[in-house]
Formats: sequence, structure tokens, C-alpha cells
Amino acid sequence: MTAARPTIGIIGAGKLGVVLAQLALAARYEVRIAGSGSPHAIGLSMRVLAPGAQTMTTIDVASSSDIVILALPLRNYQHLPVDALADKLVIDAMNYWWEVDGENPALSDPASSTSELVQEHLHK
Amino acid sequence: MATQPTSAASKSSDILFGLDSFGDLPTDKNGDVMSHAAAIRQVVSEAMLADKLGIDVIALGEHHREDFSISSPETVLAGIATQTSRIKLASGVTVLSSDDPVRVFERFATVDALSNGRAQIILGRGSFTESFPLFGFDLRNYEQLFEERVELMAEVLKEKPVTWKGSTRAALDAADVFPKTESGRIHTSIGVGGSPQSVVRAAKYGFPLMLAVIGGSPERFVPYAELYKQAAAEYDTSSDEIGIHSPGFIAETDEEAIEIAWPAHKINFDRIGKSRGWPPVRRDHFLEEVKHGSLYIGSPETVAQKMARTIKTLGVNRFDLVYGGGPMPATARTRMIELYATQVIPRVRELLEET
Ligand SMILES: NC(=O)c1ccc[n+]([C@@H]2O[C@H](COP(=O)([O-])OP(=O)(O)OC[C@H]3O[C@@H](n4cnc5c(N)ncnc54)[C@H](OP(=O)(O)O)[C@@H]3O)[C@@H](O)[C@H]2O)c1
Repeated sequence: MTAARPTIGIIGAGKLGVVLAQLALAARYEVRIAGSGSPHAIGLSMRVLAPGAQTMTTIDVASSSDIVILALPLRNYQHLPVDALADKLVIDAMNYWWEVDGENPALSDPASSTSELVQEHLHK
Repeated sequence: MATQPTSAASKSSDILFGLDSFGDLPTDKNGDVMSHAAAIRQVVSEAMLADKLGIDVIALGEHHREDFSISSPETVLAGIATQTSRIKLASGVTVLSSDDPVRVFERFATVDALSNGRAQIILGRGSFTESFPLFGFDLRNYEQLFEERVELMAEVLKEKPVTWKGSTRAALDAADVFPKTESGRIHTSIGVGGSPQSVVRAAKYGFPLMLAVIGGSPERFVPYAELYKQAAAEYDTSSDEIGIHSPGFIAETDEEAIEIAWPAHKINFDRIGKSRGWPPVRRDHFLEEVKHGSLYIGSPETVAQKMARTIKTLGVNRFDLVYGGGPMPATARTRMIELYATQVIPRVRELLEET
């Protein structure tokens, strides 16, 4: 049964990414996760906090997972690997959080949601 | 998930109990909200009371917004220093990303002199970032600023001439920084709010860890304490000191504590939530946090039981209780400190002795 389950990729290994990894592992999904740097940089954290999650580069997470969850700071969405994410189911969990993203009128415009901006970026 | 204590928090007498404030504006006897200046003097008198009653630490955090009076914790600590004799004087936290490590050292070394060696620093990134635009820092450098400044802070704290180069501040070439402390070291921790990178960073530099747990069940942080230990083992640093910082309020009975804390809590959170896009806090949610989460609110017995449980579960050896959140009567704050010192702390120690 587990074999038929989609693998879940998580981009961003911070507060949200860790919790998502823990929940997905508890639900018996295969989990792949990346931070902004090398997989080695988050190795220890993931071994302790989310044992079983495989650490990879962002590109590898994107290309090798069936479902990819975005859990990085929104201000970095333009660094996402667009090609590797082509044809994937991408779930955007990012919020505009001006306290860390900085004041950005494009992101706070009530006429459009930030996920639309992300979607537009990934469709390029 | 395994929830074993991650360290034997040795003897209950080794555990430190602190009070933590941002200088929230209390209400006076007419129910009017105090001025910033009066609120600062209120904190000084509370710290003097805490010192007299034997509380171990007073930690003051910085905010740069209208609802809080403390933007310069170490200046308030300097005021407290000469009026007290035992209590440790800490920041909680010093937002290092938007401060200069050299100046931070100078200011705390001064408090250390005034207090005969009682100054402590708790460094943090801060979950509020109003200091960034105020001091001309770019939030895009949020991570880099903290990373670099922690590195420089660790050097300056050695109290030897510093040679350092980075991209967020002028380089230093064998710069010596004064005043020197008598002990040769200001006790300095890092406060973290659940970012694994910050936990690892604290271990890397060998700083004690303060876990800020302001919502949800404290058990969630057991793996973070474990991460700190494993990272410290990897970097060959000490992981002996782990503390927790959580909000609370104490009155004679559970009902009284809730009736005083709830309105103040609601005003406090709704005000912050407005700028962050949170929905207004609901009473049932608040009560849920009191029951199962990270609000230590109730009678001395209720709060003591809850604190002892958290201390055991996480294996921490310091508990800083954040008090007086929101516009609360000043008299209720004073009473809370008395109850904390005379009933809660002794009871927590007792509970920790019974295994
Ligand atoms: N915290 C919450 O409760 C919560 C809830 C819902 C939604 N969110 C949203 O989730 C997002 C992340 O929040 P957080 O609190 O988890 O932040 P966080 O703790 O700061 O973690 C951010 C993570 O993203 C990584 N990252 C940064 N840039 C990246 C890039 N270009 N490629 C890959 N990874 C990158 C960081 O890695 P490095 O450390 O290596 O740079 C870090 O692991 C935000 O948009 C936030 O609004 C958070």
C-alpha cells in the first residue's frame, strides 16, 4: 500500500518544513526535504527532528518527488527551480510575512494572492 | 514521538527561575493605562521586589512599538543594577541582527560592572522586526545579519583583541573593547523559537539555549533540546544549559487568574494580530492554551504543576516566566510576583524532588 503512495518533497527546512516532514512521515509518506544550502547543512537537524526524511538539494527534491510543498520564505520564491517543478503538483504553503519578507507592495496587493504570483512564476 | 526527558536536570535546587518582561503598559489604580515612563519605573520596582524575594533572574526584552515601554533593556537593567543585590540581569532578547555586537558588549559589560557581575545577554533574531527599518537594516539580509553578528559577538565576548571581517559591518583589526568584566565572561545565551538552524547555531558557538515556547504544547520542543545536545556533541561544545521562556500569570485562584489575564491577553494579541493579519483571539482558544498549551495561568498550585511538568519533560534547567502581558493592573502584577516567589517556585522544586 505504501508503495503506491506519492513521495512528498518539501522545499524549506525551517519551522514549517520540519513540522510538515514530521506529519508526512507519521502518515507513512516518503519525504524528501531541502534547505537553501547543501543537504549536509540540514543533515543533523533532520536526523533528529524528522528521522527518515531524506535530505537533498532543492533541485533533487523538486525533480524526484510527486508532490512538492513550498515551505521557504516567500521573498525567495523566484529562486525556485522552475524546470524541475514542471508538471508537478506544487502546494504553496508560503505566506507574505512582512516582518521577515520586508514591505513589498507586489506581495501585499489585495487584488491578487501571493500563490498566483508563485504560479505565474512556475508557468514561465 | 519519544518524550523522554533529554537531560537529568540534576537537582531541583540547580534550576533557575526567572521573570521576563517587555515593559507592557500596566493600568494604575484608576484603571488608566500608565505612561511609558511610569511603566519603566514599574518594572524597576518589580525587579527590586523579585530580588528581595529571591527570584533568580529578571530578563527584559526589547520592542520598538507603542504598546511596550522597553526599547533599551540594558538601560533599564542598569537602573535595576544599583537597587538590587542578587538577581541576575538579563536581556530577553537582544535583537542582535539590528544591533552592533561591539556596542552590545560595551553596554552589558557596563551593566555587569554596576551589578557586580550579574549581567546576562540573551541573543535572538527577534520575531518582531520593527527594529530593522528603524535602524536602517534591510530585512532581505535577515539571516546573514544574524549569522555574522553572532560570529562577531562570540569573538568579542572572549574579551581579547578582535580581528574580524564580514559584510554587514566594518572590519576590526586587533580591536580591544572595554570595559573588561571582572569575571572575564558575560553569561550569554541564544533564544530560539523553533528554527532548527538557530538551535544548531547556538550549539556551534557553545552558547546556552533558551527555547521561546509561546504557544502549543511544550512537548513539541523535546526534539529541539535533543538536537541541541547532538549538535553540541558534534561541535564539541557544552550543552549543559537549556532554558525555556513561556508566558504566564498567577493569582489566588484559577478563576481569578483567568479573569485578570484574559482581557489583557486579548488586547495584547489583537493589537499585534492587527499588523500581522491574525484573526482576533477567542476565549475558548485562550482557555485551551491555558489547559494544554503554553500559557502558565492559574493558582500557584496549577502553575507549579504545569511548570514542573514542562521542566521534567524538556529536561531544562531554567524557566523564565513572561509576566504582565497586555494592560493589566500594576497591583495584580506585583501580587503575581509575590505568589511566584513565595509559593510557585518552592512548590515546583518540591514537585521536581518527587520523582
Ligand atoms: N512558521 C509557521 O508557523 C508557518 C505557518 C504557515 C506558513 N508558513 C510559511 O512558510 C514559509 C517558511 O516559514 P518558516 O517559519 O518555516 O521559516 P524558517 O524557519 O525561516 O525556514 C525557512 C526555510 O527555508 C529555507 N530556504 C530559504 N531560502 C530557500 C531557497 N531559496 N531554497 C530552498 N530553501 C530555502 C531555509 O533554509 P536555510 O536556513 O538553509 O536558509 C529554511 O530552511 C513562510 O512563507 C511562512 O510564511 C509558516
